[in-house]
Amino acid sequence: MQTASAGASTPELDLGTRPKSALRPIEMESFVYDDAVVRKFTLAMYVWSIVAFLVGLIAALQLAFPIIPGTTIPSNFGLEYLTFGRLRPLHTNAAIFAFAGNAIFAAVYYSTQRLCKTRMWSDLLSNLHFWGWQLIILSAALTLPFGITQGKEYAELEWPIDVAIAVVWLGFFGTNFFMTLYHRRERHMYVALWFYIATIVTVTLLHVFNNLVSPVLSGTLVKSYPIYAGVQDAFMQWWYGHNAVAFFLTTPFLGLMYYFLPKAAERPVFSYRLSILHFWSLVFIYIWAGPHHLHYTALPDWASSLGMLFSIMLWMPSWGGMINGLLTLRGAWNKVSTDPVLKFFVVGITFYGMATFEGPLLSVKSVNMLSHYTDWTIAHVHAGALGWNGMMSFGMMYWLLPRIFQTKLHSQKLATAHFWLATVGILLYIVPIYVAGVTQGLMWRAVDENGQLMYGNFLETITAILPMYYLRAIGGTVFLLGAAVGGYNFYMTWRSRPAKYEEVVHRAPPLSATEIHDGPKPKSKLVGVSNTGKALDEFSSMWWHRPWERMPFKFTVYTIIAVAIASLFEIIPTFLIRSNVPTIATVTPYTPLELYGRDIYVAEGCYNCHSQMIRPILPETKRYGEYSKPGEFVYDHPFQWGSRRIGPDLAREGVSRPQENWHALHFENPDQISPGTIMPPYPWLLEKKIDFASIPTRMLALKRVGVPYTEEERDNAVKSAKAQAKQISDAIISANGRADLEDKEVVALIAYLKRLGTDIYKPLPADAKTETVAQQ
Amino acid sequence: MNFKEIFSLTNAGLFSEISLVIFLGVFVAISVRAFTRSKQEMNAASNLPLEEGK
Repeated sequence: MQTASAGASTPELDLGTRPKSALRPIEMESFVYDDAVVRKFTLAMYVWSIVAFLVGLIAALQLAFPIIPGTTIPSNFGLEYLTFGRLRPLHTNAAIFAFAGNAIFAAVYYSTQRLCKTRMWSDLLSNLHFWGWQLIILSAALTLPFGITQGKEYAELEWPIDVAIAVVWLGFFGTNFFMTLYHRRERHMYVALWFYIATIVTVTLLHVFNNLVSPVLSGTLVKSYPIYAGVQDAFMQWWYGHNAVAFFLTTPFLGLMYYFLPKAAERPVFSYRLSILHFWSLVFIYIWAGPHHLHYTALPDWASSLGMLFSIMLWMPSWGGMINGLLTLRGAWNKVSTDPVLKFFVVGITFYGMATFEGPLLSVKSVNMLSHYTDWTIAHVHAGALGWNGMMSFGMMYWLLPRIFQTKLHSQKLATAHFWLATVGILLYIVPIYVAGVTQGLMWRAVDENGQLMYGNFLETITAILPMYYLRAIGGTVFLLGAAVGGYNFYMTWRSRPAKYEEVVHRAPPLSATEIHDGPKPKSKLVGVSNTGKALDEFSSMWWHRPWERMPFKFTVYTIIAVAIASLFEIIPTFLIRSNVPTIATVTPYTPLELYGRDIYVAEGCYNCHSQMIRPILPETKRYGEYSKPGEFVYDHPFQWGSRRIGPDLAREGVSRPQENWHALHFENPDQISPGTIMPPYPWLLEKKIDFASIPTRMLALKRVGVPYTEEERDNAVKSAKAQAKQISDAIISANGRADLEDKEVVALIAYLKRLGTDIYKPLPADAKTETVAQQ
Repeated sequence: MNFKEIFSLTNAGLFSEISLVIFLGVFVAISVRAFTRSKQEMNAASNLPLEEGK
C-alpha cells in the first residue's frame, strides 16, 4: 500500500508519452479503491462454490445409487424437484454462473481498479451488479427444480431471467467496466483488461442471440420456445455452449491469470508479446469451434468440419498461454513449494493446458465418434471446471483474503491442505470417469463377427461403469471437503479483520496530464522507389496503429469484429444455404397433446440423459434404427438432441417402442420393467393432471416462430388433445394397465414418445415433393 | 432474384476457405505487430500489475 508519487504512478511506456509540459507541475488526483464490492463477490464465490459442488455430489450419488442403499427409497426421495434431470441443470448453472461468475467479478473488480488506477466508475452500479447477479442465481435455484427451463444446456433459464441477465451483465457490469476504462489514469490497457473486454462483449452477443424466444403469453406459465428450430437451434446452442466455455470460463480466467499470477510470483509475465498473440488468436479462433459438438449429427458436414479445423488451430494459442503462465514462474519455482497460492495457480494452469489439449483432440471426428455421448466429455469438462476454474478461483481467493480483509491469512497450512484435497479430489473424479467414458463408448460400438452388437442391451453398458460412478462420488466428496476447509480458513481470516478497514488513498495524474504525442507521421527513407512504395513503407511502420490501441472503445470494436467474423462466415451460411436442411414432406407439426408431452419432456430435463440423434454409424443404426435426418427436426423448438447418453437414444422411440402401457409402467417405476436401471421413477406423471386449457396459448407462441398451426387447429386443440389422450388411455387399459390416466401428464408424454422418429415412415401426401425449400 | 436467393445457392466450402485466409491474415498481422514493438515498451506494459504496492 502506498501513496503514489508522480514518478511512480506514471510509467514511461515509450508510447510517445510526454507530459503536456515539462515545466508545468503535474496535477495529481486522489482516489480510494472500492474493495467492499470485491469482498462481497469473493464471499459469494465461496458460498456458491459449496452449493455447486454439493448439488454435483448429490447428482453423482443419484447415478451411483438410484435407490438409497438398504432402503427402497429412491435417491430423489420421491420428490420431482430433486430428480437428476432437474438437478443437473442446477449443478451446471451454479458451477458456471454462480461460482465461476462471482470469481470472475471478484477478479475484475479488484484488478481493473488497480490496472486503471481509478475507483470503479459507479459504486451504485457495482452494488446493483452484485445484488442483481445474486438475485438471478437465486431465481435459477427457484425455477430449475420446478421444471421451468428452456431445455437448452447452460441456457436453461427462462426468458424473464434472461432479460435480467442482459440488464445486469451489460447494463450494470458492462457500463461500469467500460466507464472505468474511460476514466482510467493509466494510459496502457494491460492484457488482463483485453480479456475482460472480450468476455463482456462476447457473452452479451452469445446470450442475446441464443436466447431469442417466443414466450407463451399466459398469466400462470413461464414458458417460451426458441425462434430457431432443429438443426439451426442446435447450431446456435453449441455456438453459445462452446463459447460460454470460451468466454465465461476461459477468457476472464486468463485475465485473472495474467493479473494475479505475476502478483503472486512477484515478477512480470514471461512474455508480453506472447500474451498479445494469445489474446487475438483465442478471440478470433474460439468462436468458430462450436460445431465440433455436433459431429455426425444432422448438422451439415461442412460446418462441423470447419468447427473441427478451428478447434485444432486452438491448440497453439492455448498452449502459448499455458506456457506463458508457467514460465512466469521462472526463477520463482522455489516459492511454489511454500506458497499455497502458487500451488493452486500452477495446477490450475497445468489443467488449462491439459483441457485445451484434450478439447481439440475430442473435436477430431474419429475420436469424437467414440467419445461423444459418453462420460469422456464429463471427465473433460470437470478437468476444466475443477482443475482450471476451481484451482484458479481458490488460488485467487487465498491471495485476496489477507488483502481485502487487511489481515493475515488464518492458516497457510490449511490452505495447503485444501490444495491437496482439491488436487486429489479432481484426480479421483476424472480418472474413473475417463475409464467409464472409454469403456461405455467401446461397448456401444462393439460388434461381433456376425455383425451383431455385442452389448445389445443398453443397460449392460451402464452397469459395467457403475463402479466408476462410486469412485467419482468419492472424488467429489474429497474435493468438497477441501472447499469446506477453505471455508473455515476464510471465516477465521475474516474474523481477524480490523474493526474498521483502512482506506488507503492513492494518487495519480489524470490521463489528460499525460497526453499522447505520437509525433508527426514518419517519412519513408527509401530511395529509388515509387510514391506508392513510399506510402506502403510509411503505412507498414504502424504509426497509425498506436492511438487506437490506447482507446478502449476502438479496441472493443476490433474485438467484436474478430468474434463476429465467425458469424458471417459460419452462422449465416448455415441458416441460408438451401441444401443444408432438406425438408421432408411427411414431417408435420406435433399434435396438441404431443406438444404438451414434449413440454413435459423438456421440463423434466430428459435431454440430460437421453439423446435424440442417431448418428450414421453402423452400431448406432443397429441399436436405434434409421439415422436421423436434418428435415425431421424442423418443428423442434427447442431441439432435444442431447449431449450425453446415460440412457438410450430416443430418436426412433415411436418406431421401436410404441406400446403405451410399457411406458406407463416404466414411468411409474422403471425398475419393474428394466431391473437394475438407474432411471428414477416418475410417479407424479401418473398423478398430475394435464392443463388442457393452456395448449392453445402454447400453439400460438409456436405459430409466432413459424410452426404452421392454423386458427382452426388452435380452436380445436383442447378437443383434439382430449381425444388423443383417450386413445392412449384406452390402449393402456386394454393392456391391463391403469384406468385413471386419461387426463394425466403421463399420457401426453407417451403421445410425444410414440411420435418420435415415426414421420419418415408415413406415406407421402399426394401433392408432396420429396425435397422442398429449406425452412427459413 | 434477391440477395437471399443468390446466397442460398452458394457453396459452403467457399466460406471455409475465405475464413481460413482471413484468420491467417489477422494472425500474421498480429504477430508482426507484437514482435516489432520495443523491448522497453513490452517490459513497461508487463510490469503494470506489479506497480501497486511498491
